Amino acid sequence: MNLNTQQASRCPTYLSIVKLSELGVGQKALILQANVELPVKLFEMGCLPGEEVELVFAAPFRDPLCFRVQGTLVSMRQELADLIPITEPYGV
Amino acid sequence: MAFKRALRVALVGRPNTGKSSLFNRLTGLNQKVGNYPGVTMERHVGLAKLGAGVLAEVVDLPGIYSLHPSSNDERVVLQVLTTENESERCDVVVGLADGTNLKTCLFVFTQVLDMGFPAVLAVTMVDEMERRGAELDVPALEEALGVSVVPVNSRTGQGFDLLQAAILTAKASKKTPFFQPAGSHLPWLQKKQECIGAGLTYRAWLDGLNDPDFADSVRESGRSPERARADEAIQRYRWVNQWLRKVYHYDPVQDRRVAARFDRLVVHPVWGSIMLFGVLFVLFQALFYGAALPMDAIDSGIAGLTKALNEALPSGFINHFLTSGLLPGIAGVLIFLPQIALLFLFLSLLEETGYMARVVFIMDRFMRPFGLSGKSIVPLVSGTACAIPAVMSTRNMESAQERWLAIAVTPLMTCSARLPVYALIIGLVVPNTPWLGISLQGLTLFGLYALGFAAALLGSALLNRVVPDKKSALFLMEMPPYRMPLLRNVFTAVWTRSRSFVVEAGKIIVSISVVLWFLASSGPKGLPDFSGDYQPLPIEESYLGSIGRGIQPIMAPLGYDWKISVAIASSFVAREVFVGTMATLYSVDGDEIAPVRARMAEEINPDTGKPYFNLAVGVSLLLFYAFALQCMSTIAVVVRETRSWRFAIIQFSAYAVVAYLAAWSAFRFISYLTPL
Repeated sequence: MNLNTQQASRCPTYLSIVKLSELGVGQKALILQANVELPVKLFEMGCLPGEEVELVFAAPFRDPLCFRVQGTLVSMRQELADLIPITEPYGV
Repeated sequence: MAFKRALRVALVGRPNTGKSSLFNRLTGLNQKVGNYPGVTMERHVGLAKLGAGVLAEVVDLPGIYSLHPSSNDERVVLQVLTTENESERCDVVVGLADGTNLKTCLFVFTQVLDMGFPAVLAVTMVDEMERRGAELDVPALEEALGVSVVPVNSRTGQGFDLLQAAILTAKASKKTPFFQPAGSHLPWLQKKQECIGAGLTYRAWLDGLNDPDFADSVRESGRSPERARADEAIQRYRWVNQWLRKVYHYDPVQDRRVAARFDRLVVHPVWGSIMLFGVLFVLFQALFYGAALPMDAIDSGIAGLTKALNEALPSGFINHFLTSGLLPGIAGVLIFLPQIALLFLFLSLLEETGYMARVVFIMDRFMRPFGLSGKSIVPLVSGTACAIPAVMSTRNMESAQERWLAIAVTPLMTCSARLPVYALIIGLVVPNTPWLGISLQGLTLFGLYALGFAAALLGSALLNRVVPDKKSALFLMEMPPYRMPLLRNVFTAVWTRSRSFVVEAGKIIVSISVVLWFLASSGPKGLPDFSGDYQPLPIEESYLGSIGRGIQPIMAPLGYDWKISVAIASSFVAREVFVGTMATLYSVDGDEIAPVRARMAEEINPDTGKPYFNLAVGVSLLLFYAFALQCMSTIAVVVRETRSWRFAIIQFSAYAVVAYLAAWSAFRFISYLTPL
């Protein structure tokens, strides 16, 4: 699956919105609808718009990141989490 | 009672749902079970007795997140489930769902139901569910799915009688479809459906997503095929969430808090690194200290047996064959069994507990500069046991680039077949005196492991530069929960792998030892007298002597005499053969039956009058064995996995060149530093 990071930079809409990669450890937020094309596997693993997501832990240099969504732990790299818009974080 | 194979049953589920444990319980067939996503790489088949007189063939399929293939594993599953071949078609699908994580597991299961298979849902980890207070209304879930739901415990076997009965009476769900494709591609789906049979909308949909025509028809409605797949995921999760709210109650907040705190420690830059380094350090020290006692026992046991045989039998052909040909070969296999068993014990414990997946996670950032992801740590770490399963474990990599890189460099990792050679040489040239309480021999071994790892990483980075990739890989992985390892699974892994080393590698080692014994005791000038008083030819006149002298000029710059040359030539079949060959060469050469290492230590270099195996020769040999791809079986597996002889030949040649250059420079350098 190809992850096109250029697509994201073409969408200035998201500059003002919080990205999943900005979540602090222990913080939660809701996933928002992205208007870039995300890898389908992400959806199939349960990372869907409207779901609550929590950053459970992060590797050194905050990359990759491990989130809890739909009750499972899903780990992804920063470059992918950068493409996913979320609501204002809450929690810890 | 006569059995009739009535059914073929496929096990389908996400990774880490206890699929392999259930498979083992159901079939009684020994198989590797692990906690790392995608450890079930190949199609495992077993026979299970279901009720009276019915024998079912059970196929354990790789763990998948979705029926839409993103990886080779998922491709395999889809292929098995959609096969047109009557002799491979599955009659019943058993879906697996981790009882502590039902939501995402049900996603895949609804896909299976939509394919129209008679199905049963097995809910695993019921002991954990109970402990954590998770409650599932089984009849209500059965009602919602339209098929039987059976909670099972693979540790105790609880619920398996119900599962077997449910498989026998399994029916396709009447509640389907759980997902209804909609949009401009419907006419295409209907046409496709006419070809493959009515009521199989979802089959048509799965086929369609790989069809360019279909992609075009999807685009007409202004959406990409990917977007259409995402819509499927959204619809399915909506259904699952809506039902689970009614039938499933689980409040894991407390457990999660504890697990999360532990995970933050495990991936912590300081504490996590200390933990990882500690685990590896204990592993390597254990390989030398922990294995020493059983190794000594095997060593002296074989030596005693050889001595007794030699005295009991009249001197002659049989005596010489047994004591100089067969027994040294068998000793060469058995002596390293303790180390191999220990290594596999550690590896499977790490997989079973879930720690291995954390290692993948931590390592990802560090592997990226080398063109790899954290997932490559699995073939690389498995490569410390054996390159063969390691190369096979690359199958679940989604990135073709990363996969070929991993296959290319994995054989550089220090595999267990190198251990016999390393142990022999290190024991010869590195003093057995502790330095600051650390075994120098253990430290050298640790260094060789580090060298293999560094060579693999640098090799990968270099190859990634030479043949760059246009796409970047997607690193998206489920983190398994920590679990108490099922000891039966760990010991099964140790047992099956040790057995396969003894049986498969052992077969090669022993037969080559015997062939070499023959080559060493007879020669071009004539066969020895088999009938009367058997007297082997002097080694110099044997076939082996001629071969060794033949290649010796090529090996001389590395500091090798003809015996080492012969041993290297013969070990191109498999590295560990080196030890057997040395044993054969020296016990044929000398009169006394002494362990090969002691005999080698006594070898004097005729030019210098000092021990032949000095540091320069030793290090040269260690480096040669670190880099040369001397393993027929690995080459065969690489050919199979890459489907390319060219790949394997280039790989073999590149390894040979690097090995020769490294051994040559080390020999020259150390000889220069330590003048005679």
